Amino acid sequence: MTPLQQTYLSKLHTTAAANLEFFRLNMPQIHQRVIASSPLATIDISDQGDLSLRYPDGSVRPLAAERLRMEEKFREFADPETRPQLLAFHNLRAVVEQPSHGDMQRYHYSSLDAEYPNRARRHFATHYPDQTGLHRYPVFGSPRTIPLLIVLGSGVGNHLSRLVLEYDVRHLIVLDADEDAFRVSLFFQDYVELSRLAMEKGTDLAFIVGPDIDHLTRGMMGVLRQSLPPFLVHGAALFYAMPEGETLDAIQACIRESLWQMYFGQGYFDDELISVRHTLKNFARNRPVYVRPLVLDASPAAFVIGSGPSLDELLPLLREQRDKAVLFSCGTALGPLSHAGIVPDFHIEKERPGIVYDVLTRTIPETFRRQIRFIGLNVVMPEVFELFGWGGMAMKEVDTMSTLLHGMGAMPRVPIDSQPTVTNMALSLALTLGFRRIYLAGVDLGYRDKARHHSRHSAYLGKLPEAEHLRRLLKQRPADEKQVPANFGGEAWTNGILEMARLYMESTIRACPHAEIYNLNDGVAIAGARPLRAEMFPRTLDGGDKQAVLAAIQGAFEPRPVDRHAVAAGLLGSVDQLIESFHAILDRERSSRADVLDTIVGLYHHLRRDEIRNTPAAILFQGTVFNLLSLCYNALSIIADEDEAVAKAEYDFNNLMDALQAGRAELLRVLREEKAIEEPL
Amino acid sequence: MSNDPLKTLRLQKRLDAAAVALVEGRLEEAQAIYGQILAEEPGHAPALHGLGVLHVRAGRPDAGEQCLRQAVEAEPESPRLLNDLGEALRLQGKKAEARAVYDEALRLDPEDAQLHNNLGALLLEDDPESARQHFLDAIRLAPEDPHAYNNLGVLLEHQGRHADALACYEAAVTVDPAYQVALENHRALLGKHPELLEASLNRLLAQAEALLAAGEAKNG
Repeated sequence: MTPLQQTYLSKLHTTAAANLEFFRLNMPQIHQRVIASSPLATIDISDQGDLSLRYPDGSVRPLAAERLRMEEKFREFADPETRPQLLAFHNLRAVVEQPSHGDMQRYHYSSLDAEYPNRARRHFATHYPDQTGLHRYPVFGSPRTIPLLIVLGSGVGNHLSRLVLEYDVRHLIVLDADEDAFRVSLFFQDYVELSRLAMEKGTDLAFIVGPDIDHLTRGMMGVLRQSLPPFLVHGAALFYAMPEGETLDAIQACIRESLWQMYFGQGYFDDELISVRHTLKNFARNRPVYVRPLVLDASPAAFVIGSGPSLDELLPLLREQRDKAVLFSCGTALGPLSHAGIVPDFHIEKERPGIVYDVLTRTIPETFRRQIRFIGLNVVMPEVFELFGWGGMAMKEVDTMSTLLHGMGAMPRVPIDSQPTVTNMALSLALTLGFRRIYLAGVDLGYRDKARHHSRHSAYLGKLPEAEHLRRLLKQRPADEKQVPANFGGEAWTNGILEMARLYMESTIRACPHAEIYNLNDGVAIAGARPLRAEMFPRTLDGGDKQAVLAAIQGAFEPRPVDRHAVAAGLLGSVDQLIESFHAILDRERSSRADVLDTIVGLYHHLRRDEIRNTPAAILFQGTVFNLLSLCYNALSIIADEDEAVAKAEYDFNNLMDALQAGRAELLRVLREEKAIEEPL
Repeated sequence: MSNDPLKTLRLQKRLDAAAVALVEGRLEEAQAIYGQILAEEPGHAPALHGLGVLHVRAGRPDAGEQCLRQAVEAEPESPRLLNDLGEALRLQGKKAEARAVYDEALRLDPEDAQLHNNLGALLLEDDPESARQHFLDAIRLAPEDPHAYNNLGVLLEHQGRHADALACYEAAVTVDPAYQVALENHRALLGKHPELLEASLNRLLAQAEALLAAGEAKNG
């Protein structure tokens, strides 16, 4: 090696060592990944100092060419017209004449979640009936102002520092699916300097590195949720610092697929209002509440039964085992069980709208229902509990009323993962009761055959209720289908909701490592649930004293009196406090897009603060606030004139406060109707 | 929600454009903008106000009065609006009505220098003592405004107090060296009374020396 080669390589190694130490101190998980990864590429240096990367397959990438390619990317990035962006437009002119739940509205009480977004949309459509005065793509004032920049690939060179220096970036996320590429970048990119520059310029910096692209995008969503409103993905600028190819395509596809999750899942005011009403009614009827977990000291077996297509083939097994294990039927699984004459021990429901009552009364004979014990969340319609022989109530997590009652000390908190499907709830409930051997039947969380996405005799496919609206509702299927590994090999179809159900279920299983969970279904593979074909089912199952087990479960529920006047005072107090705190945040002058953005982020962060997000009012209003802020942000990003963008935002902020006041009035009405407030306030 | 900040902003931008056109003498353009706003928002007080001022500027104080009265009906507590209505009335010789309007405006905002100056101008012939007091109030409230100095000079000249009048014109020009009306009054008065020239030059000399001393003190 010549002295030039030696000293140049020494310089690169020193940079890498400093970077590694920086990550060890500040981002140990990244440091661990780098340390654990096996080096693949090597750095070659010519006697004249030409650097190139050599890969195990023999390919070589000269670094000078790489830097020139990056310069080309910079030129493309500098022009807002050619700068790649993530787009997730609301249709700001599409006034949704249907209320918040579309056809389902007949089962809901409030149209607030439709009315106030519609006001924002009507306002936009009035002032911008066509594209005049609007940008085609999001712009945030100066072309150099970028609220969120996602850099795909860590690359080699100093592009990250340049991006921070040359642009006003609020949040910078670096995603790299190639651990070795990230390792190589440590030799060329000065991450220590980058972090100092970012701090000086007020740029939040996050790195997400790992080969699992799903994990990568989930990590990105996690970062976004923690640090800024997720709807800021709309208009996020993209910088490609990795070569084009399959990996980049896969990351882009995964981000696009994840976008919808950024916009949804924040809840509806109406759902929470139903929770208030139903919970008050359920307590008024002295319904026993699940307050005592781990009541089972032996380890009886349980079946969690969903209405997936595998249920049809598993019915004989359930019939055979029903005396030896406890059967939890979930939601629409009761139809096929009823059809097969298999009486479950417990039926579980989690949904609040009256459709649950309609389906149960129209599809399940009363004589069958009366033989079953029922467990529902506190939000479930009170009349549903009365359709069964016995009814007990479990408190829903992240729910306005549960949060209030736990906060008041009215009852102990027994956390149950009840989202997103009723089988998730049943599995979590069974584990908290103390079951340590659980078989999943009809819990396909997907389907092999698109034409057969549920059990033949579930309300989805077979025994449709008479009413046309129910038929329409129950036939709806999510369209975002994709293929994932199946439980018994090969692949199965799934969709967004079922995929989320699988992820949540895997998390529930992970949290209970002592339990044995078996997946009997020819559906989606569930990590932590062992695949078990029905023919391999152990015929020696010992049910023990099943009646004693059932009695113990019922004993875990007991009536708890609740002072409804204290509930009303607590709810209204929480709402008033939230409204006041929003007023305080909004009560400042805004004269630029940046000011408005600060306010939007400020409101979002306020709602996410530990002491706020777990208050009843935050849960009651978070969906409404999120949606209205998202609309506000969307308009802000495309209105060309800065003053007009600010004025539109002021309208939207006023609209938000009007929505909160209207929500308070609706809450007051419900509290009066439920006799929680005697005198008009 | 009755308040629409975007609508208000857009209206304000159009009003601003009309006001600029008015100041720059593009009266037809300004009139067209006010007309459009009033067609969309009949009775819109700021547009009526602007249109009223435009008529007065165009030598149509009667039409101006009509618009300004409508505007005052919508915004009865605007001293600026009352001031402009007073001016429209004054120009038509409706002195009593003008005085009542100015008095009402000053009741609403006793610290408005322009109102004092305009009321002083109205009273200059019929009630010179009140006029003098209003000019002095205007100078106290806005010493950087040359108009009240000039008007006070006119009043004093009428009263035969030529030396004092000349000093007032000079004060007006000191505040605004490009103020042609005061320059003209100064020149005319000196033409009629050349004996005042020496006193005037002495004042200028004293001012120059004071400026020089201040400059030296500043430079150490």
